[in-house]
Amino acid sequence: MKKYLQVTLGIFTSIGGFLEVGAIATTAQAGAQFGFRLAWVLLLGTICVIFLVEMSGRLSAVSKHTLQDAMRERFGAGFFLLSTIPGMVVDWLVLASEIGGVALALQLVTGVGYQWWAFPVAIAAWLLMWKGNLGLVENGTALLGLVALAFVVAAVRLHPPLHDLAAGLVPSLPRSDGAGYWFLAVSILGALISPYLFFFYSSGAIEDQWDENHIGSNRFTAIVGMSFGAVLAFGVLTAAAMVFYPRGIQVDRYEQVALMLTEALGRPGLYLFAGALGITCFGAALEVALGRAYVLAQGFGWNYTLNSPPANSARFSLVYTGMIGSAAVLMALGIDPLTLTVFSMALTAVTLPLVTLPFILLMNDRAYMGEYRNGWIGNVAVVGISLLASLIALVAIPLQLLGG
Amino acid sequence: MNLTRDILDQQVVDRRGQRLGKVDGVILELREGAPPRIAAIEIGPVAVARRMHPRLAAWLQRWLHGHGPRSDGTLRIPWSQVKAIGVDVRVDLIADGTPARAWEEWLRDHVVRRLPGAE
Amino acid sequence: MSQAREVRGELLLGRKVLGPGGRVDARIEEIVLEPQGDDYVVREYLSGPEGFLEELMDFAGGTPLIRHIPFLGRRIRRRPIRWDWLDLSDPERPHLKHPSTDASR
Repeated sequence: MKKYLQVTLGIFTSIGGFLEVGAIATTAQAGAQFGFRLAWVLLLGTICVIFLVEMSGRLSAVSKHTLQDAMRERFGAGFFLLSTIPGMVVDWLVLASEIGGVALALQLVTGVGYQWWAFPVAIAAWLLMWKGNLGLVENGTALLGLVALAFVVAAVRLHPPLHDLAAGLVPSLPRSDGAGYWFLAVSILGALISPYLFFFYSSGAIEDQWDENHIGSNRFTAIVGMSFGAVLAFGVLTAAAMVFYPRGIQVDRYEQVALMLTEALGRPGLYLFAGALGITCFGAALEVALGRAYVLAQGFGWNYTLNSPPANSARFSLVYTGMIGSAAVLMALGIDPLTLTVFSMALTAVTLPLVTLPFILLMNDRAYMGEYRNGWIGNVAVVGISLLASLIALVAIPLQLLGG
Repeated sequence: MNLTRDILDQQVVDRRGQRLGKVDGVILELREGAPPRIAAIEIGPVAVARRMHPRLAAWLQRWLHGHGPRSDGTLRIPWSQVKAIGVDVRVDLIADGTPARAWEEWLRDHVVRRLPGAE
Repeated sequence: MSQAREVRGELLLGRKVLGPGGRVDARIEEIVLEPQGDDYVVREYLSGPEGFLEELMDFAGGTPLIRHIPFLGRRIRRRPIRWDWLDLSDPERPHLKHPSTDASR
């Protein structure tokens, strides 16, 4: 039974990995511009993430190696270095965006500019990683992240036409503004399917010492955890579709996005929005910084753990420290968080195949997976996801230039 | 046993199960009239760099020798001390004090411990 | 002629094997070892073809990635080269010692 409480790892991962500044921004924009018609992209992204998260967890539980361990061991040091360097740069930009998201949330409630909040936010996150352990990070953020349910509450109170919502779940071609439509579709997928998510989840599974007995709870966690995040995201889409779309309001700034909650929830909506934005971005910042620290430690073979004092894993601890400190600088300098978010999501989409393609091999590797190798469903899924990821990688930058 | 599949890039753990590094290099001894034998495994960032480009390795070695613990972090473990090859490569020594830990221990003592709450 | 006593296995991987007249025959893709007493010794080298893709992946340093690509990689047969048929006196330019008859033919 305790294993099923591991679902908090899944919920936390989805709050930080699934619903974060990029997802909120793109989903809100999608709702504002196209109503419910991009709902199918959310559904597609959710399905992809569920499969990939489940596979990350299964790989770690059975092989006792994390995703990054396995990638270095199977593909060599060359692949590790060449895929990690761009990955780190992209994640660093994503990390800056997440810090920006928290800072913007604070700006919303205090009126003090986000630039001033950048370092306090980074220090708070750093303290949690430095002094806390993985359990605190996971459970604390998962619990606080429940405030994001405000999106769902608001969505329900706005009485969305269920017929339109259901119709949006079926893939459709754009009626107008094709470039904008596809740009948003790709952006949503790029925001939802983030590599750091899988590296983090897989590392968490090893830190929590999962084994073959956790296969079932891993599946449960992946499905329930990611679906929870998806429900939150659908809440955002619905609220935006009900509040902005009928009025033709374009969502340009975060302050406007808060309006979707005030309409349904009144004045508290503003604070709930700030809370949801702040906490999901805070969780994401932790996940990105830790995810990359895990990647570096596992790729080079250092010892690493969040469950004992930093002095026991000096290099690992200094990586997440350095990342979060330097990322905060970008926000303190006044770089616009929304612009950086959109940009870094396109870059994330470009690096995605480097993570999804190895899954095809690793999940079928007898030495790692034994009898828990992928069945035909898993393989169809992972090949399909890789094709999708490759397609997205190809069109992400051109679409950004055309439709962004 | 295959070099890339079973030895190279695998995780090395010491006698107590602590992570030492990855197998970054394998030293083969060439012999007259006999097949080459594995003499040692090597752990270290210079060995990794050399696999990308020799000049990168040379630069990295110079830099590592010039900073911090003044060590390039290279640890050569004779094959006789390799006890098992499986999920990990288990070696019969203690990690502490070896060059593989030089930078970890230096950074711990000179940076991490200087920050509050490191223990 | 002094033979190099030590050679780095990870640098041998991906290295081009020279055939007769210095022509590039193949690349070393794997080194197969077997126990001999307390030691592990090289039994054979597995070589894969030299081609455009292989040249492209040269920068990836060491472990050849081609054979991991599910459909491309499987179809490539890897020729074993017995340990004594590979001359490593110049480790950067390994060449076959008995060029006319390859080990697997």
